[in-house]
Amino acid sequence: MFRRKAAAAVALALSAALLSSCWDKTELNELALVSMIGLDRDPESGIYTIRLQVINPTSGSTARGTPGGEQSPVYTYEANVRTLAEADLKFYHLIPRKLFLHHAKAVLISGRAARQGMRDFINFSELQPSARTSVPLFVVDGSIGEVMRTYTPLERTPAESLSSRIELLADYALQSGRDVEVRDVIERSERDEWIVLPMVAVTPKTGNLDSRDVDASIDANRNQLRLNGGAVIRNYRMVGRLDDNELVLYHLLNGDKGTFVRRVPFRNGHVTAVLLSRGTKRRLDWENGRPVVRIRLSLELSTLAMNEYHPRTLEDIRALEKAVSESITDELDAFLDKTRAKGWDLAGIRSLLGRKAPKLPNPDRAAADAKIRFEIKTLFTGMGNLSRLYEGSGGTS
Amino acid sequence: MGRPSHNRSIGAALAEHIQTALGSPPDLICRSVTTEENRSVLIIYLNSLVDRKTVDEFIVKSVRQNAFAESPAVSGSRYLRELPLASPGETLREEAVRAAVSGQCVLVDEGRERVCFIDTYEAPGRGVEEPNAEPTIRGSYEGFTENIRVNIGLIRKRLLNPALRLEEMRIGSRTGTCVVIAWLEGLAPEALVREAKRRLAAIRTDSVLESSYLEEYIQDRILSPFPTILNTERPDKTVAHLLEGKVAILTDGTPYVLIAPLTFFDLFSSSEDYFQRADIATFIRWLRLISFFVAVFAPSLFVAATTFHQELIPTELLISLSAQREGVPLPAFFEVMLMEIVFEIIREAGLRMPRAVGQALSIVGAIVLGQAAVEAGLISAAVVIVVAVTGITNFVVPVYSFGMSQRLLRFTFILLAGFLGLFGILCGALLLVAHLVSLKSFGVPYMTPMAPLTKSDWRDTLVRAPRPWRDPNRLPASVRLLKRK
Repeated sequence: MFRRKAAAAVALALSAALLSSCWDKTELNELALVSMIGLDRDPESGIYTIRLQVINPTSGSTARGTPGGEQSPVYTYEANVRTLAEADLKFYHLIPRKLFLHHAKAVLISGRAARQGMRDFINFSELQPSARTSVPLFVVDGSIGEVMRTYTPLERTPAESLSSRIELLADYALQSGRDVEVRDVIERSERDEWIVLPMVAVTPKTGNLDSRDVDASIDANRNQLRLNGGAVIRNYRMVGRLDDNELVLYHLLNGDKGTFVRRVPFRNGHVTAVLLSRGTKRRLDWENGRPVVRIRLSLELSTLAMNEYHPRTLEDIRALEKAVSESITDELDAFLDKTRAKGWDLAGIRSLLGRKAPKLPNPDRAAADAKIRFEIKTLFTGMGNLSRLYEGSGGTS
Repeated sequence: MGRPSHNRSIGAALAEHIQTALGSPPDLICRSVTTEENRSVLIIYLNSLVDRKTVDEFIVKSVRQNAFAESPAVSGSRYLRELPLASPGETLREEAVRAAVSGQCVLVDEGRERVCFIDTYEAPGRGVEEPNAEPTIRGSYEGFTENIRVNIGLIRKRLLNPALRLEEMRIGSRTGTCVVIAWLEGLAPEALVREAKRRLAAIRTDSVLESSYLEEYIQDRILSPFPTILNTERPDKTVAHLLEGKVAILTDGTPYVLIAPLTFFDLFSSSEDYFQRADIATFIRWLRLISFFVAVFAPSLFVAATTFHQELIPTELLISLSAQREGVPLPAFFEVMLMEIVFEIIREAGLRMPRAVGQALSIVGAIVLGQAAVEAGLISAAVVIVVAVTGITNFVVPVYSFGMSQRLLRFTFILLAGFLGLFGILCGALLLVAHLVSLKSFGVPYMTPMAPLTKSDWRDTLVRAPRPWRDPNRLPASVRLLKRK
């Protein structure tokens, strides 16, 4: 009896091996690790240009490589296709390894393709079995081909360099948010909301760009990629752009948390304020049948440049807090007026009305007519602790 | 005079019988001692098995002074028995032969018509040394020896308690090995002692050369990679378990003592846990648990992740692993399997090799495994690291036999990972858990105190609680379960 059972168990185990995925196994050196995807479409011919930046695992340690390194850390492949479905086939004419998109760190779309609409690209990339939608999406300002052929210093691949900069800009400049991934574009566009994506451009180039000579240059501002403003997207289509300053206000309005710096006029001079956004709260009221949206912002304020202003009393601090609140309110008002004049709803008023007053007969109209009031609460949290700065007193008062 | 001459002939015949039965061995001594009364007493013993000092200074001297004749007849004692010379010939002869091979002196007092058996057993062997397989930094450096009497002494020395019970058995029809069951009366559950005796008594074998012979007969399940009986060469550990109400089984001829019942979590505790500070001991115990998982799962997870689930590996690590794999001819599965087998071979060779050659072997192993194979592009460096880490973590558990179980499990999981990836590892892990919870050791569930759940016992399972926080009279759950029976 025991032998029979044992034989049955062995037979089962062997047949399980037949069902196994071991025939699907892929060794690491059979994979082409795609690090960045570039998407473009010629509006006239309708031909799609797909570029893939594939990591060369055997190269140096950064995207600019180690000095004297012989191999490029990434290779950019390009395929021109009439339909996106042909892309894989085209690439296998060029790439000897299986495409592996799981580790892609950035998706780039050219400005012209974004203006035509990116629904096709996003739909296609979402259908790829090995692709992820949790990848940041960038809009290229300029030639996408040039961007895809540019090395970046320090990070191993340009894609990592870009995605890392998004995090830093969100934390330390409030010029980016974290909700700029492919899935955010899908979700927001499906909800008929607006989204601003980071834009990337190439900095001025010098030297022989086709060789690695540029790597020897100490000037890292040239020959590399720069995040530059934001692309305003609605319904998968780019409708305009914001500059770096406007980006801060956009992220402030949307409740993103991060630090930013403003120079605020105060008592016949200026104070450099380091502000930490702690998020927003929105409330919908009605005044004479007109919607009023109250946006409450919490800011933490600290001053660093003590030679500009040094508050000495509680009244001084309250006055400074008030001045900062007023200054930011003015900036936000101006920003909203400008964008609403273009028909952009970057404050998300339309979706707020949709949620809070779903039975409104004409929500678009109501959103355009809505009055927006800011209630900014600034809290002074710190300042430099030197009341006399380097006045040659030798440390004695 | 006819009677004495008849007796003398019986004595000589007895000596001759022993000699014939043992095949005239060179160490058989048959000496005649004349008493003060001018009687002749024949002393027969195996020179290699007796304490010669006892024979010369005690027995021969006593016989000469006729002290034995004065002493009252003793019967039933293990150390001194006597039979009348007029006993049935067959019984007497058998008894005498058995006594001689057990290291006893056979005294044939032809004048007083009796035969005495005096236990003078003293087998050659090494002295008490530091245990090889279970060394500690702090604590006793004494380990059991091959001599069961010394081992009993090492236990008694630590347990000056009249409740210590020792029961001797002879197991092995040919070897007649002395096996002693030890327990603490009143503390060890009666059901446990009864069961241990029953299992030992049921053994039908011709030889017991090591305690593992017994272990295989008395363990609860034969087909399992996990030990269900603990073996140790540390007297302090044995005493600690006796104090927890467990039974110890000592076998003559081996320093390894068996302890039952055993639970899975006992395998992670070492004597030193109780000699160190509680917080450090807890930390080390967790390290052992982590090491167990690393030793069993690390190579299989590596195979599964690198051949089926590359998306789970962080990008930087993937690039680094990918760079290492460039030019490596073997698939990751075979690479890991090959290295593990080579590592096991080197380890096995290291164990069997003379110590003088061991160093040379370790150098060859390190160079072949660590450097040459990687430089030749046969193996990727990551595989060497995984195999090395696995090999080291394997030695972290304090019970050597459990380390061997891990080796077996590791190969099974590598195979599963090679065929089915993480799915295979998951299936294997589920089967392993099912197997573990179905195991029992002397009727105690192997996974006690996790299954069945006894939270109060976690104080000496997941952590080693400081002694003042523990109730000294509380026995572990495994023993309490048996007490209820």
